[in-house]
Amino acid sequence: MKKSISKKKERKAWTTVLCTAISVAMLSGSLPVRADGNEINKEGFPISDETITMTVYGQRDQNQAEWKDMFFLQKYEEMTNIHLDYQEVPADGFSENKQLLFASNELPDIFLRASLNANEVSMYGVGSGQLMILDDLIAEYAPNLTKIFEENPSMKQACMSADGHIYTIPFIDMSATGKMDFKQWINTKWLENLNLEIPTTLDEFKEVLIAFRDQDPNGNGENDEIPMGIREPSSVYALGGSFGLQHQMRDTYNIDDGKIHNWLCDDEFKNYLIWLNDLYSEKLLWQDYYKNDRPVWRANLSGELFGAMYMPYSDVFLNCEEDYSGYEPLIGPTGEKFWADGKSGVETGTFALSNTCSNPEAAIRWVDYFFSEEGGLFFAFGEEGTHYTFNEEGIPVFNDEILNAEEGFMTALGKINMVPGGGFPCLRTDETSGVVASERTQEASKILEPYLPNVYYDKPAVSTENMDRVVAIEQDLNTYRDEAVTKFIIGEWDFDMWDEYCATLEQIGIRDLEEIYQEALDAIK
Amino acid sequence: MKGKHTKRAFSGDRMFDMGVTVLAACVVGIVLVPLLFVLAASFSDPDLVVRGKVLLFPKGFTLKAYQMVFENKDIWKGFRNTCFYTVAGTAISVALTVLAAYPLSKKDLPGRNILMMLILFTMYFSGGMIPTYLLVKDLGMYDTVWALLIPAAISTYNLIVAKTFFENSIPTEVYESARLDGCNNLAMLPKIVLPLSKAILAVLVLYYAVGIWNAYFDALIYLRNSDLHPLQIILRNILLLGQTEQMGTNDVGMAEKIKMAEAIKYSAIVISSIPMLILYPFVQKYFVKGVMIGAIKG
Amino acid sequence: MKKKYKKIRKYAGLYIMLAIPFLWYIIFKYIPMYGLQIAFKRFNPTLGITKSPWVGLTYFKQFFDSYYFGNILWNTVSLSLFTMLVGFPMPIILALLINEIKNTKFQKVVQNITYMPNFLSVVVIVSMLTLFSNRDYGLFNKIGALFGAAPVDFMAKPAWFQPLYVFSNVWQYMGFNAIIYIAALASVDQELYEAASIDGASRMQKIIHISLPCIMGTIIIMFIMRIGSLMSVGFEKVYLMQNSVTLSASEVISTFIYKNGIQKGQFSYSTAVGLFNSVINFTLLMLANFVSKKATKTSLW
Repeated sequence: MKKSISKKKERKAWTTVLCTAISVAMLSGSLPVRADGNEINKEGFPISDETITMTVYGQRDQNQAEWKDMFFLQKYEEMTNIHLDYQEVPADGFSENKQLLFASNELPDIFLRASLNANEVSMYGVGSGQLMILDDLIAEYAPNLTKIFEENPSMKQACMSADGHIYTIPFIDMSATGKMDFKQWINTKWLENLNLEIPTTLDEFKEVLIAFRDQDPNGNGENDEIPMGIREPSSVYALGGSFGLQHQMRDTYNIDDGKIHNWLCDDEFKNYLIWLNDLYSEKLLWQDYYKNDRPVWRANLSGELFGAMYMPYSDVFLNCEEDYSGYEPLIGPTGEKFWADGKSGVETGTFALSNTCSNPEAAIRWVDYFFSEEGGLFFAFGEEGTHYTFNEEGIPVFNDEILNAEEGFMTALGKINMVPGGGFPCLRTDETSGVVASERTQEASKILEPYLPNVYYDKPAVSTENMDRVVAIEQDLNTYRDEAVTKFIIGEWDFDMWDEYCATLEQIGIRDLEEIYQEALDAIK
Repeated sequence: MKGKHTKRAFSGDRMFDMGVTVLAACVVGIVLVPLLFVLAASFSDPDLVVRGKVLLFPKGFTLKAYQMVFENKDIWKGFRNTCFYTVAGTAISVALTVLAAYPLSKKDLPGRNILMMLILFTMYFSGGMIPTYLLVKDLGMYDTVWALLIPAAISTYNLIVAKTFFENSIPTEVYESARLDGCNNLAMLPKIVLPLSKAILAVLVLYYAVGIWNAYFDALIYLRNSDLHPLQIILRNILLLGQTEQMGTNDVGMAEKIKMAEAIKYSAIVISSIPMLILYPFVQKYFVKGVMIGAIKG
Repeated sequence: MKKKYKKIRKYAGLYIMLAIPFLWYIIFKYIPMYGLQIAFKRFNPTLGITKSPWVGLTYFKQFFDSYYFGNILWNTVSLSLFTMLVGFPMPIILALLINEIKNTKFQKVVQNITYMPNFLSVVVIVSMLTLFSNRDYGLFNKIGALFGAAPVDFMAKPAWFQPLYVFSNVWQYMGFNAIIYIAALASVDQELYEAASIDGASRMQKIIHISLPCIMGTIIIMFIMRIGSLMSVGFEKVYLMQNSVTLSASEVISTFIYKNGIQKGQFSYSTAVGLFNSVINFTLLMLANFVSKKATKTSLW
């Protein structure tokens, strides 16, 4: 399986900070360690003096070039002397392919961008042992990641599985935009046209929406405005902050003082639904929101038909981005200002090793570089001069031929790195977040940032024994909840049905689920 | 297929004819309207399509979508692959099916009933995905074109149709006289049976070809190399992108792809459907006859 | 003994031919069947299929205990029955209709147009349904408005899921499925019709007393085949048509298996559900064939 690089690329005269750093590191290279017959250097580049070859399995996003042709991987191969054989699978059908790969137990050395979720880690890591435990390897060979974990213990916790071990290395987003998923946007041009202020309370918000509906704010004489847009039914759970509904574990949970509570049966949630139902019946909320019809959603966004809406990034409505602005969370019935849709900034499952990995030490060293600021910058922006320059404020900006590439920015970027599609194990900071978030998006995030929950938890991995139960309950619960909630909002069900709805949730096992998660959360503390 | 029933014209008869004509026209209308919609949409401005302004005639006429399809390398690659899979796969499938159907059509073949039962059984029970997947991997077919040609080669349904055809369409006397001429069972297939069976071959070709042309699931599972992907996978990517895409970080960069996808959806549909629509008239002559004899049990 | 030998010799050629496809059946159909055992095991990939631990009927129990079990079962059966009830006679009626058209050119046109949707992919059909169902500008509502009906968002009403599924199915396959009956009708002895005319039979009477009985054999065979797939509803179309509002009416066994098994890696569980489904299908087929054999002397084997 071993292949050495046959054609050494011509060395150009690199003048970047990056390369200087590397050569310095090379000179100061420390004692080699022996691992499976391959000598690796514990510090600096190259990672190994002899070429190491490993296989990599992962999901290739539509916008990404073939991995063997991707700039940062080619360059990094030169730097590290680690050659990777890529087994990349297109996004379509990837989840099927991944499950079958594990089922057949013919594993690659490295999983990259394989988005292994908590259930899969539990099944294939804790359960069948096909994924390697990384704790010791990280401690020894990943100084950058170790440093991040030491400074942010909650991030380490987020990576731990039910048995307390780490099986996957995450993508870590420390930028403001990464601390939340949805940002809220309002059309300031419409507000101006109607002489209105940005709303601060739920009541003001509704008045604004009514004005959007009735007063033709875009002035085209047609009643085509949609006052408020929500992308899909499941987004509803993330937007109930004004009613005190947290979105912990990216699901319908509040966590206060370490205690997990699922609020699906709470009065706060009922009030929130009554409010949404009111907006819906007044035709203020987008009437088709529950259809999961992304093309129409996007057409409406870029057609600037929404007054207020919620989106993580502005890339879909870049054409009219200037007309929208972020605003502070609306004050709810209890007078609280709160933005629920937080994220821990840790996206687990982006990188893992199989139990048959031929050189785990080298693999961990390979990935750790991307958790340094320098490596994070190299990953996100490529090479200074060739791909980007620093502006006056010291922020990296892509060159024109990439930003305004004829084939599209993301396709151009997909030839350099894996930012399009995301899910690559690296560190993203405010400095490098510009690669995905426009200035507008960053502003909108900064406005909401102070109102995020103090601590944000990810879903803890549950023990293998509880796995089957969790999957079975969640399957039924989520199906029922999505259907019921939508019916409440669009008025198909009357709120007399509430008790029956709660009883059904209990019957499906909402409290058992709560208990299992509580147990799992306590276990990692 | 002529309906020459009687030359005497009853007035009731004429009423009946009118009713038939009107009804048939209605059916044609119902079938045609949605098809015309797709055609019209493929020539229209995509924004107008999404907003529902297009019905039977193109609005904002443009050939841009077709131009984009023609320029899309993936679609052409997929198109070529699919053509190969369809031709090669149909050949293999038809051959295997005939080899099974002909012997099984001999009512005096010892063990015939047991064999038929064994074959029918597989229509209802299968080992499921994992063992099949492991098998394909073990046979070295994974990520090769063989994975699409061999594991799903025989459709038991088509096998039954072919078997029934052979049972009913070839008179026993033909076999008897061939046997008297010293022709054995083996030689009879190419010499006597196949020349008499153009109709069933047409049926099998059409069924298999359409099936393979529209299939995508095996490719999804057995092919990793996107250079081998058939058209349907690429089409599914384009047509379903909006529905299947995940939320969150994966939204990054989707916008551009989706805009493109929206624009070429309908033209891609038209282009991908045309080959099969063209195939039918060619085999139609034999097809109708083949279907009939294949399905009627004497 | 000698006779037997002679018999084998006589059929040797046939067995040789059969050998190749039969080998295929053994390799690709029978060998993988050992995998069915994972329905009764907790599948662990490192241990492999044969060495994974037995868990008995755990996964069957999990399915039967699932809150949605009754619902899914009912959806599967009712959708399938509905499809059959409407979808089965329509091609027959269409065939009879086409057979009655006297103008051969028109006859060809009708036939050739009605088979066309058969070649469209499911994705296309579903996206058309979505567009046509739109409350504000959809084709269905435009037509409904002509009759004074209030606008309805068809894709979002559980009650409309099944009719939409069934009638779009009819639309797509009616023409193609009719071919077989048209062919059967074409082979009906013309003298029968002429004799009936002399007896003064009307066209309708001729359809009922001559055309229909003559194609009855075909109808019954098609019907038995259909019964055998009663529990298998086309997965892709349902999957694409589903949305969170209509799940209570649209979740069927095949979509359930897909979501749990191949997408979430619950292989044991989904194999168990699939096995349950197969057993029911097979039983139904045997039953239908048995009844048909007794009642009409027509059967699959």
